[in-house]
Amino acid sequence: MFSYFANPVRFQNLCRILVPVLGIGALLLIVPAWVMGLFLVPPDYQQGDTFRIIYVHVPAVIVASLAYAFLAGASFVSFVWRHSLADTAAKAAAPVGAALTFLGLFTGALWGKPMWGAYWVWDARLTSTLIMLFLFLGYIAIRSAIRDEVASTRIAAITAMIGAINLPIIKFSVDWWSSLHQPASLLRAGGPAIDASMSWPLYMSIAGYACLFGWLVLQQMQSELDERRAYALVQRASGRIASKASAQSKGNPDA
Amino acid sequence: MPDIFDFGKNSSFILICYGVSIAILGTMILMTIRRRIRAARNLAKIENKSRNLG
Repeated sequence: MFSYFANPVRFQNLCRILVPVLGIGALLLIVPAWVMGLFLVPPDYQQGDTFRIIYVHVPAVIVASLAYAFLAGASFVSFVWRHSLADTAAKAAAPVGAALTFLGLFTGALWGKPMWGAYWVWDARLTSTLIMLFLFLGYIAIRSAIRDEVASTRIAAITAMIGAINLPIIKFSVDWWSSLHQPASLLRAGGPAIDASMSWPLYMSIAGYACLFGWLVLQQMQSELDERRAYALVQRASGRIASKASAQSKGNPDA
Repeated sequence: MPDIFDFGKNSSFILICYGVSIAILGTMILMTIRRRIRAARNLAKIENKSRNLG
């Protein structure tokens, strides 16, 4: 499947269908989920209205983790099979993942203050998520700091793959160590710990953020492919002009 | 503040969270659209020029 869609023309055709579907999907899921989360869902019996932050915090962190898994997977494909499209996908996912991780940490801090009395604690879940933010930023920094395209691709891919070790740590940190952060409420044995009236807008918001991530990555990939094609055309045209000029100067030594 | 946005003593925390989320997601969307338009326009311009060069 990877090699089938590694063809840029097939990929562009796929994008023509996926981009509008994901864009509309994101809009139709996020907006109603936020409206329901803010105004329609009843307040939590312990946390009161503050729990409404869940509808922006949880989707950001979950989709940021998925973005990192996507980045590591695309880096693996790019490293092993040297698919340039996989490399483009990894490059496009990194800034989106970094922004979502920042959003997750920021909204988590604002939730932590009224609930724990502190914006930040050096808790395993929070610290491992902060490490994920640094991994995203490190990936972006490597890509922009090393001028040799092949070297930067390979070093960044290795960094992303090693960083994937952090993903299970983020997920299971609340079970492995004693933590202020609450344990898993959605993906846990025995079903979700949240009432259906509160969990449905949350599922919608998570799905909406996932659609938005897909939309942003595909749009960035298309832009990158267009920029690469434009660069290749300019290089080819300048090469043609240079060879014409040298042929002319050989034919007429006085020129 | 209108009553609809009054969530008790922690209203400011809730509204800042939603506001920052809208700002960051909106900025990402706008930057992505701008880059997409610029890249497509630039490619079309260069393709036209290279076609004219033969």
